[in-house]
Amino acid sequence: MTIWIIITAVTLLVAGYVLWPLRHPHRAAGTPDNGNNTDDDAVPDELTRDLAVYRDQLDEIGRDIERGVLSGEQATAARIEVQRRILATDQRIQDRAGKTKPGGAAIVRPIVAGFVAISILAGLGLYLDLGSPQTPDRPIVSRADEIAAIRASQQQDQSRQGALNRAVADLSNRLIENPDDLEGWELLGNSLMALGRPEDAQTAFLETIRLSDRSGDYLAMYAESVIRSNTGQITPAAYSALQEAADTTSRDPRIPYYLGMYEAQNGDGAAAVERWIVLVNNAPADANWLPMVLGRIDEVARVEGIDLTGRITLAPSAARGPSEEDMKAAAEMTPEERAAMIEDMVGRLADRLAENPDDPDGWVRLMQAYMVTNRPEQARTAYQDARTALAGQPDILERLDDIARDMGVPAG
Amino acid sequence: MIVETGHYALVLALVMALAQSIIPFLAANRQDQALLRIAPRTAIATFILVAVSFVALTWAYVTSDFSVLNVLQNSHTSKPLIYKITGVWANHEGSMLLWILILALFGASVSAFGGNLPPTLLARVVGVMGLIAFGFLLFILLTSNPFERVFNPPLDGQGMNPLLQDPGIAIHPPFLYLGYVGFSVAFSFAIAALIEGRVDPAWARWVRPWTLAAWVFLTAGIGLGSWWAYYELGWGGWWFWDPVENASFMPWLAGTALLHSAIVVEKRDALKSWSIFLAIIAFSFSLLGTFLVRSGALTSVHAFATDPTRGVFILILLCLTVGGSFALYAWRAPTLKGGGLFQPISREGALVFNNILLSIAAAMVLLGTLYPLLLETVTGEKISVGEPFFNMTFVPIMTPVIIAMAIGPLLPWKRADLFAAIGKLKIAIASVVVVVLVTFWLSGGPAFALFGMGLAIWLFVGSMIEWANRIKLFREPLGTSLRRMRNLPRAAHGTMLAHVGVAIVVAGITGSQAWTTESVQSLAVGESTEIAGYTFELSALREYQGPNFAAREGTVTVSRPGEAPVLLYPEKRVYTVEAMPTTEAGIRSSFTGDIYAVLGDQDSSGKWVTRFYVKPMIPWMWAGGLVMVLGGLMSLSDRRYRVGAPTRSHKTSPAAKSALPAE
Repeated sequence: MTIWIIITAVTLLVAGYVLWPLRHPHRAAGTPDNGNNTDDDAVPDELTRDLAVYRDQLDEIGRDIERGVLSGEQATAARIEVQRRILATDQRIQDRAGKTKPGGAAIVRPIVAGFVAISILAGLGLYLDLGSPQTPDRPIVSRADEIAAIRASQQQDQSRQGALNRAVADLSNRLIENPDDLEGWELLGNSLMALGRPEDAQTAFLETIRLSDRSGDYLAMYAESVIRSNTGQITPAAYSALQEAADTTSRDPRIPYYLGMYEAQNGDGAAAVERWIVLVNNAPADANWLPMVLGRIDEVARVEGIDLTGRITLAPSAARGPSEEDMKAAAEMTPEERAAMIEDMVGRLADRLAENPDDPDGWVRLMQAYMVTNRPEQARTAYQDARTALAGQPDILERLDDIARDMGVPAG
Repeated sequence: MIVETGHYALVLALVMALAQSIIPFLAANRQDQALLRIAPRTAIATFILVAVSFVALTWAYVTSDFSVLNVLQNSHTSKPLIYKITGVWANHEGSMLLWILILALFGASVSAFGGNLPPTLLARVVGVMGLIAFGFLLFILLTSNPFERVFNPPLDGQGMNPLLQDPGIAIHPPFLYLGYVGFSVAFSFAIAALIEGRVDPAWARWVRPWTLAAWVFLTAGIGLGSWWAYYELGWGGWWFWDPVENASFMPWLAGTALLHSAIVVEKRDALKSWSIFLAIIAFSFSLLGTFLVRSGALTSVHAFATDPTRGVFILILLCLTVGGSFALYAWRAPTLKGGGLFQPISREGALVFNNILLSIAAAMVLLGTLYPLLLETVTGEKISVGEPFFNMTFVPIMTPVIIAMAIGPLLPWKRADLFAAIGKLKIAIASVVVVVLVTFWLSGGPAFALFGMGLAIWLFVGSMIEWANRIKLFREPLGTSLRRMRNLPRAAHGTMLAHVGVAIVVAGITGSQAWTTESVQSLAVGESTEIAGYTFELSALREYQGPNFAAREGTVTVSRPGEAPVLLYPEKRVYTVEAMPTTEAGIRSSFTGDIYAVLGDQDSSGKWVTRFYVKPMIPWMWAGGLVMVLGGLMSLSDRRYRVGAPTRSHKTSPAAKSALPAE
């Protein structure tokens, strides 16, 4: 708000100052101000000004004679020359006085005032385009809290790291005694990754692969630890693990993501983009890796010159399910109230899908809601409706089938 | 809010500059009194607005407001306050803002002090300055806006080129710009005169103080720049014929010529068209310099950020200004009436001679600067036109100028007797003989040194003789001479000082070029080496932490038999934020010359690479520059420039009345 007051004040002050001499619209142009006017504009006329210069030159001729630079004869010649100039000046001024044409001020002055006003408006427009009037100043002294916050989060990182290190030590000891603890190895691997020790994590993930009988999820984790150890390069070991994982039922997003990276690193950016588009189009809207993958798609597509228009259809984030308030409220409800609320939410979701059926994520959530509330028949109906609604998109249908199978939705 | 106020003020300044480039011409054409009074107000408003925006940007620097992109990219919280302030113009956007601030300052000064100018001339001058300001404000707002904001500002900036974190270079750009941009006043007067179709002695009298002021600032700016190069770049050189240096030197040469030709216009009503031409040329050179530095056509210490759109924009501005003014010149100059006639041998003749040679010198520098650029653009071949070219062309051109400089002031106007004038210079001729012989006896040469020293003493003594003649020193009693000295117009003292300054500069250049001794060696602490009779010992080394740099400082003890030893402290610094090393030379200056030490890195054997120089007479160059500046200032304070401004009648009348006997 203050900025607008300042802008208005500055503008008015400047315009007022500049246009101040126009405040006497009745005074005609070409008429000099009369002598007794105490205004700031009584200027000596031209002849007086020029004469002062020439008088000074005559004085200087006098000084030159005194110095002996000019002889008396030369001085006389010089004086005549200066006097001739004085006559010429006088003549010129008289000539011009005859030519001065008064009048027309009545039109010109409003035009000038209007021109200034329009220019100022144009200037305001330019400022609105270039400037950021709402952005406050951010002097460093006023940012002590930000600096403190960064310090605090650094300290927090440090203490978190300390805790992780202790946990890793405990876990390692436990795993020495009990080497068949799958979850223990997974936890160790993830902790080591968080500590930035991907080389050590590789060993832990190899154990999980062994214990899980080569599960796709663990293969993906292992591949990631290998890739991170090699500064992002998809090594042959990582690639074969990823390929093996892709043949399993695992739906870990790391698998298509890193396979795409492999393709991009080996010159097939177009294939990578296709793979990633499928990945993001089927991603839950709140997946934390989504922005990263979208960034990659954008980057590679730009290099490859791929047009992305209309290709990416993310799950609308408004449909992110129950809001935080809903969850909080649900925690304080009686079982009956909770059931009613869930029913209400499910109903809303179903209504929305009826209106806007092109929302694979919504369908999945609806199916899940019915399964959770133990209504498999309705889940089956939803599944069939979804198949009808998404009939034109074979890859999505394929994933839908997978999900339905995983959830145990009765088919057909 | 302060930042955005500054941004808005800059946009409003553009609006005012637009008004300033239109209303004054309209006013002058229509002889409309009210509009004629608006004209100077637009210039003053433009200046105040640009000043507000400059202060706002400085404020953002001082408070380390990293939400301003320009501050983020060029500042850092750990920088000492002085370099936070000078950081404002140590980058492209800020330096352009300073450029415009100074342009607006000149426009406002002409408006504020121009009450004694004919109102139509004042209006047209202000209008031309408005056109220039409008072009550059548009440039800065559209291509180089210093008020661009960052929405998630980091907590610290990216620092500033450490070479520029130095007091000498901190004040160099403002002086240089005051000089460059100062020529815009002479330019505007020239254009206004062409439009009015009138150039007379009164015109010359109004133009001269502005040209002189610009010349003083430009001289100081160039001097500071070369001094900085000398002590900061650490190889003992002070002038490299770098295109950017040439860009400042060309307007200086043209401005010097203009200063002298304007005297002829004022005193003799001659050389009008030529003076107009020089005024256009001097400012065109300033614009060319701005273009060369800002366009990326050149790479050098000075070319901060380079960007093709900016280059194209400035090139268009340059073409419009230069092309437009020359077209106007071609159209209107033939209508200017010539005035007084003169013989070739006369004061005017000497000034014409000076003008021709200075113009040729400027043309040579222009050729040497642009030829490699053109060749590279056309054929892609890269050549370097360096010192040999400039030495070969510049010295032969400037030698007659310097010889004539001693004679010219002794010649009377209109027609003169050359031999009578030379006769007055008998003492100067004798001094030349003595100095050349003494120089030969002391140093044994080289030939160019004898020549240079001879020229210097010729000009020095010649200038003093002219001044001594004016006050009849030794020809009348001392008291009379002192009285005459007091009564002498200050411009006469100024001429003498400026010419003596040139003599001292010539001596400094000659001495340092001829007799510099240099030595590079590796020394362990405690070892020493001998150069030109001095013993340089690397006595100690220490490391310390500066505010934003880490430094290694050597102590070099320089001794000569029979003299107290001198301690030098050369440093090598690494600026932590920018990760850039700089050298800080250890220099001891005295009347006879400098001793100069540079500390380098450790070599493979663990010794320290050091460079030592003994540079006789080099401080004379900057002392001479200072004397030239003093001469300019002395001349500027001459009361003649303040007359021609009759006191306003309505203000003097009450005083006049009170002087009458009471009724």
